[in-house]
Amino acid sequence: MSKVNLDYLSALSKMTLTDSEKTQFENDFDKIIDFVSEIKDVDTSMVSNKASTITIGDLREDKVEPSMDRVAVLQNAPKQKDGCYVTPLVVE
Amino acid sequence: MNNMTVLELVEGIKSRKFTACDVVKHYIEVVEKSKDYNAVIEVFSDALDRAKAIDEKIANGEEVGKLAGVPVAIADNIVIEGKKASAASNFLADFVSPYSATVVKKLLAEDAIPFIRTNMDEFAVGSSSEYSLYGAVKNAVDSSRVAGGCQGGAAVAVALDMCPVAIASDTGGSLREPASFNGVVAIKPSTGTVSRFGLIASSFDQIAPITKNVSDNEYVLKVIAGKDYHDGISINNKFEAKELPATIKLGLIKEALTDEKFSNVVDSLKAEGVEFVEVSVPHFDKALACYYIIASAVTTSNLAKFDGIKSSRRSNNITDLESVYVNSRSEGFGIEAKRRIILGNFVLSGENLPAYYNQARKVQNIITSEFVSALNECDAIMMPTTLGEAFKLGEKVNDPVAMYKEDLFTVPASITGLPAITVPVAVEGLPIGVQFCGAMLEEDKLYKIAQKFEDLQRRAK
Amino acid sequence: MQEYDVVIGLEIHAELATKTKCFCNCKNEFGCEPNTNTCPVCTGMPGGLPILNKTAVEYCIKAGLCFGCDINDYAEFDRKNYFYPDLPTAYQISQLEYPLCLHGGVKLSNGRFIRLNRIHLEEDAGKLIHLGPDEGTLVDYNRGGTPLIEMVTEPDITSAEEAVELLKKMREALIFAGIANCKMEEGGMRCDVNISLKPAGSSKFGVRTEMKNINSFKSVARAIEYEVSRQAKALRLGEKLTQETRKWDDEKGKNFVMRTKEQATDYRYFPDPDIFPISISRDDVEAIRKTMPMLPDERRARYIEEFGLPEYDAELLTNSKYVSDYFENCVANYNEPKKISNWIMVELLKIVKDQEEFVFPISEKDLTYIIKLVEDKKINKTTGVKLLNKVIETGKAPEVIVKEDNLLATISEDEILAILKDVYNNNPKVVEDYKNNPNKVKGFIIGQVMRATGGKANNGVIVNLIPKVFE
Repeated sequence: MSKVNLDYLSALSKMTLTDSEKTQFENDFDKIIDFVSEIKDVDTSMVSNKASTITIGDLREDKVEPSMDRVAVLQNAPKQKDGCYVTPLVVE
Repeated sequence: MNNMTVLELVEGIKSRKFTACDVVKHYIEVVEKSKDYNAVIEVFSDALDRAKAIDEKIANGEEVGKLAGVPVAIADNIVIEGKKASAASNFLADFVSPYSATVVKKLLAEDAIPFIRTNMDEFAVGSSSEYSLYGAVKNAVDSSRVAGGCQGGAAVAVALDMCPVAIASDTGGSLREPASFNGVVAIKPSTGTVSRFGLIASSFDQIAPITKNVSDNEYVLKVIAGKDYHDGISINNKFEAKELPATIKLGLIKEALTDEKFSNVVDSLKAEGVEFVEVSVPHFDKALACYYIIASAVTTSNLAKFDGIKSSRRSNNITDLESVYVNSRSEGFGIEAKRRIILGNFVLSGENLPAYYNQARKVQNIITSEFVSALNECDAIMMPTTLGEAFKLGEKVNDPVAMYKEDLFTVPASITGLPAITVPVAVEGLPIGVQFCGAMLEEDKLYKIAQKFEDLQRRAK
Repeated sequence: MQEYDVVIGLEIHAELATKTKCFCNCKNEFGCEPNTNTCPVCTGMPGGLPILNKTAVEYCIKAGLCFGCDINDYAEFDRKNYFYPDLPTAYQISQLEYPLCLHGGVKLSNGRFIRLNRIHLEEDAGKLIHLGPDEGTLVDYNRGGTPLIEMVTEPDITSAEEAVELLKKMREALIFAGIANCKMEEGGMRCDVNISLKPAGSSKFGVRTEMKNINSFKSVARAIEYEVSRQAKALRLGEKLTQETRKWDDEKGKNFVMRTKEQATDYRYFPDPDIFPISISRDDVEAIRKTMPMLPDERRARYIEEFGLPEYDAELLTNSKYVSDYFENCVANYNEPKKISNWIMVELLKIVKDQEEFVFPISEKDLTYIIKLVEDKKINKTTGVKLLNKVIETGKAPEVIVKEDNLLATISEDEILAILKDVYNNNPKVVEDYKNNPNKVKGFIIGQVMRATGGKANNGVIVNLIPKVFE
């Protein structure tokens, strides 16, 4: 019984695994999950999950700076048209 | 011009002992001769032009920057305007950046010459530089062994004098581990010291220099450091000067299991009058799990932007939107990147989120406070950088947990945010380093300790 | 006796009126050429990092203050992870565990208090333009990164009327506070509606459905009414309802299933490591509160209680922040609120009545100058209106026109008497009628005097002098 649901996780990751990848990962994750599950042994009931903060005054001013030229923005797009990125038709 | 330090080059170029062109030509020659190591992906075609321009400035008596004429290697995950940056991934093999990282802008402002792009583990996930589109990087001393990762290319390039300094990223030891394996110096600075804007980040990544010696490292770090508007979590590290006491006190972590080689180094330092004190980091052994849970969670999220739509390669095998995502990503990512993405989604899904991810965040807070307490009792903590010397190519590539465990001594500085520097030990044969970890923002003290250690190692040789 | 209790909760998104986006310095502006307000950050380019907008945070806190929320002293930003082409980084930066504002609420005209659960700050996604099966879909990231506040109510709403009133009140408050423009036609305010029914009086909630992104108040009302009757019908027939998202089609006037709970995405929220959490002190909150203008409800109450205006006036004057501010500025110049209110309602609002967005064509200073002249009886009301129109037409200051047209010249009693004598001599029938019923012809006589004096004679004086000539 696999420790991870590879089908679910690969779908969530928007990837498909080849058969050999699946076999390898089933093996790998068996060990990886054991490895990371050690974290559960720690008693964290009294510990906060908060991190250190900054104040509102430290934040960025609401000041317009020049945007990147559109040609540059799109220069690595696999497909572009009329100043936009293009995907196959998205059905809502 | 062999084995010159950054400081020597800066001085030599400024005083016109030699020209920037001479220097760049020399290093490019070394790069060309060292192709077998697979450390360098590309030599930039404009490097000589930049060198010429700087030589002209100097000839005209103009002011030049702190790194004038110094050729600098840039890791493949730091973007330079007009140049390719692929993070060693098939997915980004065609990506030409329309902008430069802040660190690159700073280097250029100081008249440095970015001249080569170095090889690494894909998307900075890996500890050996074997997971690369361009093939594995070979160890500088023994080419049957790994260079370490993820920034193996940068470390080997410095070790073999292909460049005087490389700028790369340390995520969970990505700079320090290869530095240890190749006998060079690297630091993971206090988190936030150098801006990450323009770094193709995977998780805990911090940018820093890798150099032949400690003084070069400090010099270059100070050039590239600085709070940056474009990186919301960058800080102003003032590098406040800290006096070292007459007797240095180094902490040894009780819970960290070290080997005989490390004990020998400790003994040699004791003989030189260094004091050692035992410190306790009770949850030291949980640092690896903590790191890998948080790092993979952030990685899976950071890599989700690569989708075959905007900046990454699109699969040729597409029918609908879903296939653009799935096929581009399946073809684009290598095996370790896929593993991390899946692990990351595992620790964030459903009930795992509190059980793994939130738990790891809390353990991170625990370990951080334990390290901070421990550092109250000593000037710096000393520990190994790596488990041992460089392992053989192919040895761990199919054993992910064994690979992850290589980071045992490097992940603590990553998850606590504390600065840690690795300095080579004087040994015969395969290189190995030791690591000094200091309190937050105490780079000055750390560099002084590292310098003392380096001096002792030189004498030992 | 209603068979079912209707339980409605709303999630309202409003685009903030900041100059730049939530996490980068690109312009926050509607209607620009695609991808011309973009950068490495808001297009998810390798190496981009978010930088939080201070004003967006302040505006979210202001929204919280508008509705009596608690402002948290620790706030975090979280990543909501999912794949969709309009989301450039494949995660939306939002707030889950530690939002900026919690609780609060809005009181409706029927006395019911609708509680809010939270108000948090997040970023908007880009826009998709669907062309067709061959051409595909175009992606524009101009809107991507626009700061949004999400305001979530508790399921306290019980009807379409209440929902629409709540939306109107909230929209009005946001506009008055200067936080958001809420231009409905630009998608400046959108609403997700959650509805369930339960047997009247039961404490157990029924199965709810969600309809997303409805962007007009009329549609919200229609969508609610449709869904309530759909659910009621199903329940009466004993059908089982499923928790699902349904798409409201305003043209067709119905909704249909989009996705069920089983297909819901696992968003894997976790704190964004690129953004420091913020600590907010009570002083920070007070400093922000001090910069807030008075909100519509407070203004209306003030106009009624302090200025003695009738409710009708108070409502009309607070229809827009511009009119309300204009009115208050006039009162500050000249303390006659009712008179000023009349002039604004009668003379000014009619000029701009067809315009969506307007500015009154006369300054507060000039308007109050004219009103004061009339009240001090230096000119009469008719002349005052004429003067107002001439100021608007020529753009000249009223003081100048008064001088040029000699408006302050009073018509002497002798002059009026002379004119009355003319009227008497030229209108024998009127003289006859006057003997029988003076009031019948008074208007005519006054009119004649006004005509002869170019409208400048004082009404009261004429009335006093008429008997001297006609009797």
